[in-house]
Amino acid sequence: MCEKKSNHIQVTDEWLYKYMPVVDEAIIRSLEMATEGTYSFSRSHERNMRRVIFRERYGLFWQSTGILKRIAALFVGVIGAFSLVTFGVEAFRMIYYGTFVEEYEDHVVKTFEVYEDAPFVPCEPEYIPEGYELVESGKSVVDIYFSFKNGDGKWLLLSQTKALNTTTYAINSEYDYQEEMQIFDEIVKVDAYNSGQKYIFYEYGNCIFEVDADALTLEEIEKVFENWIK
Amino acid sequence: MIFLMVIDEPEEKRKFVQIYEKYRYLVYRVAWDVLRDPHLAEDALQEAFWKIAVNMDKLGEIEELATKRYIITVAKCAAIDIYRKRKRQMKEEIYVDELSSVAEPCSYMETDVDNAVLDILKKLPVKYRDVFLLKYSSNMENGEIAQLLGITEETVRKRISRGKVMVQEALDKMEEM
Repeated sequence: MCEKKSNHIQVTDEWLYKYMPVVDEAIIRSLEMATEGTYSFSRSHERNMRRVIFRERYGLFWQSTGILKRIAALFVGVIGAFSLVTFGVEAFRMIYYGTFVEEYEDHVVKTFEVYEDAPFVPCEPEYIPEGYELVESGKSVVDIYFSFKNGDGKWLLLSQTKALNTTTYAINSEYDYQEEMQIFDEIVKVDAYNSGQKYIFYEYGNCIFEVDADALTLEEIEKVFENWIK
Repeated sequence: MIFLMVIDEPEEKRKFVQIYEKYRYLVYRVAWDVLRDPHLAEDALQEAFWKIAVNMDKLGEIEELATKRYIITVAKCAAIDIYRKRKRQMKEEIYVDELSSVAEPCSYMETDVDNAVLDILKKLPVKYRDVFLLKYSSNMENGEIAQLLGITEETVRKRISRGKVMVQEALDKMEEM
């Protein structure tokens, strides 16, 4: 109970519940007023966070406008499925789904059309570079992810997602340069940044495998894939 | 991309995006106040939003006071973690209380107590004030506060108890004058 005798204030929980929100509101308001919304985040930071936020923002945009600005549209998956002139990994993938790729000014959109449904078989990585420890992992009926971090605060993110008709990827195409690496018998593009960050989008079976590494070499990433995808 | 993968519901994903776009400068400011280095502050910002992403269920409406307080606290904790790691690397001991908080003068909404009384609460040492704000403004349980600040529940209880004594002593002293 809040008691006040003469001018004496008794500090009780009730008194604090009444007045701490007033203090809180004042502190936050003064902090907000002191915050400039004009700071320019570094390019590497914006790129990191855009890769995080990007997909969802553009997802909302498509849903709300239905109008897309297009530079070029490539229907790689459909062509691959109907022609089936390549065998091996490419034809194996095409059995399950086709990939539609649309290029925009600063990003690429990938959507999928599933031809044959197959169960999602999650793969757990069996090789992780030295110094990295598991921070978080999660699993659903259509995806599984792992996040690792080393002592220098560098992240290694792995995710495996089943391709569905409703799956959409929006991938930032403002990388600094591209490299190539081999996964099984396929040459795969690596989106690379001057900071050392690398991103790989790899399709295998009925799934999409992504690797997002702050500071790994191509050799280490290849070894991760070799010991991950079954 | 991993931030959004830890958030299950599409609505929560959208909320996370909105929270990021609305509060990133505020989070950066809080981190910079601790670290005084733009690159480290950006690192703290990423850590903070990671923690926010995995704790979306603890957030209410985007504009709510409790939401803002939670985000600010997560930002400060992320910055302090980086600060401590660097100081350990430099073999120096630091104490959280030594880190300055925003010392901007603030004006309060009209209440039935003097501003001098509210200033006593505002000027509590940071480690007590943060616990008070989370418990008595954000209505968090002691266990939740302990988890957020990375301390034990016993420490939370002690800080509440000692903080109340400090406030009472300051009020008694003010009344004598």
